[in-house]
This record gives sequence, structure tokens and C-alpha cells, in this order.
Amino acid sequence: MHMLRRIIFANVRYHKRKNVLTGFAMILTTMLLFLVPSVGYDLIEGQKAAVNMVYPKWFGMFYDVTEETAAKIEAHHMTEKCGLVADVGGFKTEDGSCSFIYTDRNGFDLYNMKVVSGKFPEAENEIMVAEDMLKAMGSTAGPGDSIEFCEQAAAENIPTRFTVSGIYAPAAEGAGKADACLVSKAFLEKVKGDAAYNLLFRLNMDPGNGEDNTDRIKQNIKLLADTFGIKEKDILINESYIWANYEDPTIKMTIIVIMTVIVLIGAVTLYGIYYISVGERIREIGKLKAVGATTGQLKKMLLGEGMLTAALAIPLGLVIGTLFVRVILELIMKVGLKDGVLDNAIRAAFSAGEVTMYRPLLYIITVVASLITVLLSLLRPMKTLAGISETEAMRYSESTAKKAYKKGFKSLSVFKLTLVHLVENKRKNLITIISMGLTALLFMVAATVFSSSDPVEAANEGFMGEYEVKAVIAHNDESRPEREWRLVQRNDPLNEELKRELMNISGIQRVEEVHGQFAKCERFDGDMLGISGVSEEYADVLIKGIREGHVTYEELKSGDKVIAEKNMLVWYPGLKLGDVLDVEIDNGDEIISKKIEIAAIGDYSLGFAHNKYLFMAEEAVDRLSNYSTVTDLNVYADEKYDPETESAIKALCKEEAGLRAYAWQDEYEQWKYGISVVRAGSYAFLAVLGAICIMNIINTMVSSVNSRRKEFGILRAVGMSEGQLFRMMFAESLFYTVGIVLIAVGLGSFVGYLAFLWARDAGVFNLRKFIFPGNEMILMIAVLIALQFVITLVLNRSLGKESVIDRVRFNN
Amino acid sequence: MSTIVEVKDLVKYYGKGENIVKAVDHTSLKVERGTFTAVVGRSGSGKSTLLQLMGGLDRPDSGEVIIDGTSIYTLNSNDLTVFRRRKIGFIFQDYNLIPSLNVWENVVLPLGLDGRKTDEKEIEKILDEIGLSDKKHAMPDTLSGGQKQRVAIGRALASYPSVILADEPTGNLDSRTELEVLAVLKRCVADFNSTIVMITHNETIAQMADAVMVIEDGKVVR
Repeated sequence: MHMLRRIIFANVRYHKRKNVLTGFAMILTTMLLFLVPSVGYDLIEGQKAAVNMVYPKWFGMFYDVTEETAAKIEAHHMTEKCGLVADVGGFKTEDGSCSFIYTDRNGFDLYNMKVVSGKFPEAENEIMVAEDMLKAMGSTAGPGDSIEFCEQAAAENIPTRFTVSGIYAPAAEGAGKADACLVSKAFLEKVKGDAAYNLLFRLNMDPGNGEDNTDRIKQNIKLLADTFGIKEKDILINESYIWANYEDPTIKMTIIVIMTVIVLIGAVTLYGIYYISVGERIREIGKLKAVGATTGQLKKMLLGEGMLTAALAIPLGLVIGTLFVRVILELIMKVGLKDGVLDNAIRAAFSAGEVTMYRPLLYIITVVASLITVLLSLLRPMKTLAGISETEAMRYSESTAKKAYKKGFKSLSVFKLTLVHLVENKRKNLITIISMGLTALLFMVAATVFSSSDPVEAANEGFMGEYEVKAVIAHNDESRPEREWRLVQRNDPLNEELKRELMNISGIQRVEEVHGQFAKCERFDGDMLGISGVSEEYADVLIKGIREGHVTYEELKSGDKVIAEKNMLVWYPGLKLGDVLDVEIDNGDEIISKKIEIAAIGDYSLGFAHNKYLFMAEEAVDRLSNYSTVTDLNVYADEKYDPETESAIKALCKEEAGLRAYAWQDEYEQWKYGISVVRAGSYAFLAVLGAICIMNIINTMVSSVNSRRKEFGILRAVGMSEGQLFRMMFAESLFYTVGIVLIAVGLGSFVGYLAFLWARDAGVFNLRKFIFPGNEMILMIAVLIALQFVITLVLNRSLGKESVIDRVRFNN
Repeated sequence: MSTIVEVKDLVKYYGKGENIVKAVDHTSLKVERGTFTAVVGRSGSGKSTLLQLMGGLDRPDSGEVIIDGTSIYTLNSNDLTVFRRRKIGFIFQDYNLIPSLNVWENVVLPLGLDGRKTDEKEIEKILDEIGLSDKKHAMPDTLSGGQKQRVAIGRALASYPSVILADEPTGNLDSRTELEVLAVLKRCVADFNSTIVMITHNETIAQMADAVMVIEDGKVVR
């Protein structure tokens, strides 16, 4: 065998303890490097698979398209598949509504449906019925059977009796219910004449040309619309499906940032171990140099030792990571997901094996990242090693004090002996403290965000009362024309009658109106944004929320000035204080143009803002409509939550009536659940990072004890008791705790506060109030002290197995 | 003169069966207070083991060591440590100083471990005696072998022990320094009324002691 390789193998065996510790650190680093992207991508893929099951597969829909235009669009090179859909009409049933829809086969496929039995309708009186609908009707009709709908419910021009041509259902199990009747083209033509269609389409993607990302797809949909003169109001983008199927660059970036943190912490830990190792081995290195080893060979030796350990540790880390991916995902399936349609679809996707749980590319990336970690950690020790001269190294004694004279103490004690040792080894100790301190800092940052995140506060942030009733409002959504804002203003379901009925529900104290309008502006990228009309009662809250600029409530009554919510400036970066916006507002009869000035920037809770970005006085908003401007009702109740009150409100406020009711309790449960899942995941991640750093502490302490075995023997010989020795070792280890806590609490509190500010501004967990993570800090300190105590105890016991004289005789 | 150290039928064997090494084999001896006693023996005769057993650094298989009226192996480990730091001083062949402590700190170390206050005048006196008054802030690695051994002597004297056990204290020194260190040891007996038991393989050096004992195959033969 080549001599260098022989030395490397021999050294790996000889320096077993150090290599076991570096091995453990590498295993944990590799495991984390593999777990983070694997679990991340698995969950995203699971969610995407679920979205593919539940959501239709089209990218976009153009409303009001003639057959001729549809044929041209289908022939266009940008489209991959097009389908036609037309709404024929419908009727109300006891449980909801049933619509008659025409769709061609492509449209049917793009809606993610499958034929269960029979065939597509062809004759005028043929319909294809949804399986779920038949079940709901209690009908056993099959293909060829006739079916009759409730006569009085049917629309005037739709017959009540049909022949079932076939039965259809959603293509994927776990998807939502289908409840439309599909009619033939002949029927459509008879009822609607020359009907206008809605055109569903998918685009041809060119991944090599960077066209497979969400932003590019949206751009291309708009480009296609422009080509065929389709107006912006006639475009509907299937956002959920596009998100689910095409790459979102922010996800990749988040995973890269987390992996970089792991690599850095892993590298600092390993560096700490190698740094101490080189210090311990200077004499050995000197001997090798003296017998002819070149600097290059010595560097290769150290690199070889690291790589040999990595060659054993990285595969082990990958194996453990591979096993844990399944365990973590099963845990998430079991406790992390609830019972919603999408959650069930995610479970179904995993159990059907539709998610690629293990990706070869991630294995490769993990191995490369782990090797980079090892390499980074070895760079500096290799440089140090190259700088050692033969004579220096041969004479070197690890315990040699660097100074010739020292003032020292007049008298000694165990504590003073501890101080002497710590000062002598300050660099070694500093590396250990920094390595562990970084993780402790991350812990404090996470703990700050989590301790400030209170599900009660988060829910309060989103609610003004205990319940909220909203009018369902649509803007240019032809699938729900009755919910257009103009019609809602004219016939507002949030009327006096509803308020009276709400007040009649037992436990309701007060119902408060929230007024609002909607404005369209080019500066909002064409989006329709809500203007909240704040009542006199909340004028104080409105003015106190101002962060920039100045405006009075009186001035806001003019209707020419608004306060903009600070997040609006994030979503629409071109906007700034003082800008005058040209907006278009539908007053219920016509579109009016108006100029409004952003007079101030404010910061308001979600409950106060009611999803609106602009704020005026209530009377100003009222003047912007010829009808009602009530968009929401805040409902205040005696108790925070009462199931009877909730069900009474929800029974009163049904979707069909154009209303949606929300309960504070639902919001609270959602936050409680979400925060606890994220908290558990983050702490688990930090616990593994902490375990990596613990290897460094163990190494520092073990090597410190090993290099001082003789010294401990001498101290015992001249009268240090076992108890004093333990106290000295424990005091030394407590020094690490103090250093780590100083970094974590000092720097960690500061960075944690910055993280809190960022999270609050970004709307993470609806944070409002900063709460210092005192309990978490005490827990962290307790864990560190307990850990140091156990390590010291184990080391002390191992020392105790040797007699004093053996220790005195010990030669480094 | 009274007996300060008494060793009774002391036994310490290493290994088993054919490989058994009788390091100390049913040995008894007495050391008188205020004397400088040398124990001479060839390499492997068991003299170092005997000294370690006399100092409570190791435990015998049987027998008894009585120092200043206390049978040291009846004490538990902690009490033995406390007894050792108060009643016994050690001087080792390879000095065994703590490298991170300066001369002064090495000397006052046993006092600090015993929780006693340092009497600075007494320590100055000891440093004068061993000739290192001008080196009290020096670190051990800057000292010569003879100086290091004198620091070790100072450390052994600092707690005014009942007995100082010296294991080949001149083994690492050249002949001139050897005499210098021995002179210091002898002076300490006279000036501090110390009792010193010194192990050596060098019969010439042993002749400088007040009493000489010879050890062969683990037994004191004369």
C-alpha cells in the first residue's frame, strides 16, 4: 500500500475518539442536509399531487369566446390543449344548486373528470350526471334510464325530464364533489342559440427556455390574450394549479438558505474538532516532517483522514436520513394534516405512491454539500499544519505556556485554577463557544418568534369580534355574475333584516357594520383594491396606526385622501407617500373616475383592515356609492366561542345567500395548529443542529482532559480531592455555557428582535406583541448545564478508573 | 527521636500466575522524625512502588503504612487525599510542575487546594531557601532542570508536611545540579525540621543521607 494511504488508515484508527466525534457530526450534518430538502420537496410534491387531484388542470380561461376564436387559439403554437365550456343554466335544490353545463371532451378532461359509465351526451335530451349528485338524490338511475328533476325548481326553458347518457365523477379519489349535469351540444344550441363559450387551455411549456416557472406562465397567458384581443377582465388564471405544477423560485431559495446554515454550522463544528486535533498532533507532525514528509503530503494526510471519515459517515447519514424521511412524513400525515379535502388528497397522494419520496439528485446534492462542509472545516487546519516547522514541532509541548513570566495569583483555589486553564486555552475555547453559540443564537431567534406568536393574539389580530359575516363579492368573475360588486351594492345581503336576525340569536351582543368600496388603478397592476370606510368610533385607532405622513380624520372625510396600509407598498413597490392615484370606482350605477392622494402610511391589524389596503372616513366611502357600502359585519358575542351561536350564525349566513360567516374560534384553532406544527418542526431541526455542535463540546472537553491527564494526576498527588477535580472540570465546562448563553442571549435577543420585527411586518403568525422567550432561554441554559454535567461526570469517572500514580506517569 | 513513618508487612504484587511481579514483598521499615533517609535499590527493585504506597498514591494488597500516628489505608479516598495534602509532600523525578502556573503559584498550590490562606512571608522564606526568590513569576518551561526541581521542593515544603517523599529527585539532573538539589534538601531538613525519604539508585548520593536502607526484590534487606 502507498505509504501516505497507510499513514491515513493508521491515523484514523489511532485517533479513534476524534474521528468518532467528527463522524457523528458528519452523520448528523448529512442527515439534516438530506432531510430538509427531501421532506420539503416531498410535502410540496404531495401538495401539488393533491392540487392536481382536486383542482382542474387548465392554466387559464378566456370568457366570452366564439367558436371561431376558440379554434384559432387551439391552433396557436402557444397552446397545448383547449376545451370549451358553456353555462346553460341551472336550478336551486334543497341542498344547494345544480347547474347544466356544456363541455366538450377536452374541457371535461381539463376539469379533471372521468366517465364512470355510459357515454357523453349527444341527443338533445341526454345528460351526463355526476355520481355524487345521483347519490344525493337517492337515485339509482344508470345509462339509458330517464331522470326527472323537481318540476317547480326547474328554470323556464329547461325541461325536467332527461335520459341519462352516462355517469361521471372526479378523476381522482379524495377530490371534491361534482354536482353539475353535462348536456349535449345540441341542447346548448337549442337553449342558447349561438352561444359564447368559455375557453379552457393549457400552454406549451419550454423548460429549456425558462418557461416552466409560475411568473412566465402568467405572462404567456396575458400574451396569448393580447394576441386574440381578449380583454383583461375576461381572463381567469388557475393560480393553484399553476403553483402546484410549476416551480416557484422562492421555495428553492428557502431550501438553499436552510442548507447553507447547516453547512456553516457543520463546518464550524468540524473545524473546531480538527483545529484541536492539529494542536494535539504537532509533535507527531514534526516527526513526520523530520523523516521527510512534505507539507503537501501532510495536507493530503489530514484531508485524507477527513475524507476517509466522511466516506464512512456520509453514507450512514444518508441511510438514517432516508429512514427518517418516511418517519417524518408519516408523522406529518398522522398529526400534521387535518381533515380537509386538500389534506385528504395529500394523504391519498402519498399512499398511492404519487410522491417521489427519494430523489437521486438530492442524494447527490447532499453528498456534495457534506463534502464541501468537511472540506471547509479542513482548510484552516491544513494551512496551520503547513506552517509548522520541524524543530518547533519536535520541541512543542501542548501544555507549554506561551509566556515566560506571568504575574499570577498570590494564593490559589479551585476556581482560580479553572480561570488559569481557561485563559491558557482561550482560542480553543472560543471556537467551541462560537460553534455552539451559533446554534443557540438560532434557537433564541426561533424562540423569540414562537414565544411572540400566541394563537389567541393571532386570532384576535384577524377578528374584531367573535364572528365575522362577509358579503361574497366578485370582480369580473363571469362564473358568479350575481356576486359582482355593482349588484351586491344594489342588493346588499348585509342588510338591516340580517342584522336583526343576527341580534335575535342568543348570546349576540352587538353587530357592527364595516363599510367599504373597491378601486381599480393602473398603479395596482389592474387589481381591484378595497377601500375601508372607518367609522368615527374607530377614528383614534386609524390615526394612531399612522407610521408615515400626517392626515386627520376630518381630512379623510373629504374622500380625496387615503391612508395606505404599509403592506400595500410591499405588493405594489412603485407606490409611495404623497402619490396621487387615478382610480376607477363603481358607484353601483356607473364607473366614476377619481383622484385620491396617499396622505399617510399606516399599520393596521387584519381584523381592522378586513382585507382592504386603503382607508378613508366612513362617510367618504358612503359617498362613493349610490347604494350600500356594507361589506362586512363584526359580530360581538357574550362568549368567545359557543357552538350553538356559531351554528345559528352559519345557518343564517349561507353561501347561496351571498354570505360567508367566520368564527374567531376557527381562526384560533387554525393558528394554534399551524403554530404548533411549525414550532415542533423548527425545534426538531434546531435540536439536531445542537447535537452536531455538542460533538464539538465533547471533543473540546475530552481533548482537554486527555491532554491534562498528567496534570490532573499531579494535582491529585499534591492534594486535590476527587470532588475538587470534578468541580474544577465542571466549572471549566460551565464557562462554555456562560459563553454560549452570552452569545445566545446577547446577540440572540437582538437578532431575535429583528426577526420578530421582520415576521411582524411580513404577517408571519399575525405577530403584534414582542415577548422575550424567557422560559425557552431557561430551558436552553438548563439543558446546556445538564449536558455539561453529564459530560463532566462521564469524563471524571473515566479518570477515576486510573490510580493517581498512573495519571502522574501518563505521558502525552 | 520519634518514629514518623512506619511501614508494616507491606505487600503489592502486579500480574498473576507466572507473570506475577512482587514489587513490594512483606516489607517493614521505620523512619525517624527530622531525618533524611535514603532508600537505595536497583532499577525494578520496587523502591518507587514502596514510596508511592508510603505516600498513599496507590493501595497495597496488604500491610499498613502509619504516618504521624495515622494508618493511612484505613482512610477513605477523600480523607486520604486531605491527609496527603496536609501531611505528605512529594518530589518527583520529572518535577511534575503545573505548566500553566508560575513558580509562586506552583509552590502555593497545595495550600490553595487545602483552602488555607497563603502566608506570603513563609512562602518568600521557602523561595529564599531554594534560591528562586527572583524567579517567582517565571513559568516552569523557562527554568532549568535544577530550578524546576527546586520549585518541586518548595511545593513539597509549603504545607509543612510531616514527611516529604522524594522519588529519584536528581535522576534527570547533571552531577553539578544533582549536588545543588541535594544540598537544598539537606538544608530543608535542618532549617524546617523536615523528614525526607528519598528513593535513589545511586549509592553515592544515598551516602549523603542520615540513614540508608537498601531494597532488593521488594524487600528492605538492610
